[in-house]
Amino acid sequence: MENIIETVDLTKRYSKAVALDSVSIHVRQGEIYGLIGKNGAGKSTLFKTMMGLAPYSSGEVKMFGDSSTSGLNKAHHRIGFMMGAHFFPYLSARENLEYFRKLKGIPDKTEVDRVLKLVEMEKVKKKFKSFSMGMKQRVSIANALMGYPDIVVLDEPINGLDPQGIADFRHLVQKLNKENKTTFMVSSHILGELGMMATRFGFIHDGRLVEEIDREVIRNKTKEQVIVKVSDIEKATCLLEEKFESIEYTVNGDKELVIMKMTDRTAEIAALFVQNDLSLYKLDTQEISIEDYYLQLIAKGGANNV
Amino acid sequence: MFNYIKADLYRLFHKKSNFVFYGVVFALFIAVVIIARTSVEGRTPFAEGYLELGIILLTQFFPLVFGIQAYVAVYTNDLSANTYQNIFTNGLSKVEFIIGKVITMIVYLLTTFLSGAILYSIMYVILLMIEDGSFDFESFKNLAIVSVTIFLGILGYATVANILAYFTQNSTISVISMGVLVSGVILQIFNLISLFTDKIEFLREYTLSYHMNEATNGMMPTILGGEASYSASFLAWGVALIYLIVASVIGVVILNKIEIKEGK
Repeated sequence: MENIIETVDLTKRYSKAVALDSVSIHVRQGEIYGLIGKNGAGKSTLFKTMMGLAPYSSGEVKMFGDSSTSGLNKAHHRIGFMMGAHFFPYLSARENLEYFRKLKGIPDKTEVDRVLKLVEMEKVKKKFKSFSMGMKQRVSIANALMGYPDIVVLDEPINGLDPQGIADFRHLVQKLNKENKTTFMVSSHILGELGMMATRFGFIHDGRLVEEIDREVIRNKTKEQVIVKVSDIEKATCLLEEKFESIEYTVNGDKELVIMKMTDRTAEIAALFVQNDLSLYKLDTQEISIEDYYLQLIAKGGANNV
Repeated sequence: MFNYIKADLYRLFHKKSNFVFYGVVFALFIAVVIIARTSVEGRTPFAEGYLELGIILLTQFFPLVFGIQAYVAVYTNDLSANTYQNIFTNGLSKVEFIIGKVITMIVYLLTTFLSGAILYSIMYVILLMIEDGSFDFESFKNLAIVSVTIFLGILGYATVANILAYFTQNSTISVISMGVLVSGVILQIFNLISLFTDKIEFLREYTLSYHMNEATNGMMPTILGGEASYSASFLAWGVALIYLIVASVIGVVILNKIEIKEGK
């Protein structure tokens, strides 16, 4: 699969501080790439260096296989980009988008209407300065979608959106990805939402790309958990340790056990407890969330340790 | 680049406050002329003094009012709205941006200058009709030359002010620097320094402010019925164009090296 956006050992320094440390990302055609990291991890800095808004100290940025200055400038015509919501306050949403339609050289005058409908802003007439943050974000998303770009790069797009807006945004991204084969690169520090949307993840921490991994690989790499609620936790843990070698578990409160990597042996676990006169209140399997995976990744210091 | 110019002109001509501003200025001008004309009833023909008033307005009033307004509208609105990120991520190079902005400024200034010129001319013709006077083509030629000088001067000052604007990406600082440049403060600073030392006096003749001032002085004798001196005006045009080119090149270098701020 072709890489639409690629960075090769991209490094950005501010005096002595290293904002990006040899970051090499690969955004492939047709995927929804989720760039995940806490505040200050380097997500926005990566986007700015990628899009030519900030010079970088070393490394390379390639778009559609071309790393030359003219190639990158041409590539920007095929990319929809959103970073914050910065438009002219004295113009309406429609007028602001009309400005950018002209700037992008999009000949179709109905394009503004189309993207405003996608974000449900087509009936809003007031000036941009009167918008709420959520409305501003919607206009910014609409701007990024104008002109059917090959790839849409969105920095923290769900900031300021209400729950319905977040759900609508997720459905819109998935719809465009499926129907138009649009590639998306989305950054967020809200792991849960990005976890539901992305097909591939890049985890960035303190300026370093800790891991880049497909959703399917995460599923295969991490095992599901078994959640058990019993009448006697102490007895339950003794029984488990006797029966299963190198079992991993954690205890929540005084009645709940979380057992790692044994979702295919729930019948054995249930039988063990029942046969030893333990009351079994709950036995359930659960997939590790992206959030859990990320937190484990950061805590354990890298991909090899998860 | 032409897409950018079209977009920027669209923005400027959809900003209602621009129309309000010039509407108020032109209305004030009409009011002032009417009040002045009615107060000189029966004395010397007002139409004769009207042309000299034009030169004073052009040299003293236009740069500060029209020049700064145009600079704010064309250049600093992008800074105050933090739209540089959106603009530069659409395939527009820094060179195209700077050249595009110069062209936009030329079109915008031309529009405002021509609008003012048309209004001024209409008022002049009305005065001539009232006073049964004859059209003074020589004075109109002088006005045209002064207009071109002020026009190019504003362009030159704007591109110099932009050096600071691009570096700081702060709209307030850039407007202040434009105000300092068009108001002639640079020359005042040289005058102050010359009281203490003449070591940097040689630099004065390299400033645009000096040549704009010389050009204005060359046209001022026409107010008292004297002959105009055009050489200083033509020299000022050349200096303004050199400033425009050099400051634009510096602007490109700065924009290519700095980080575009994210905005709040």
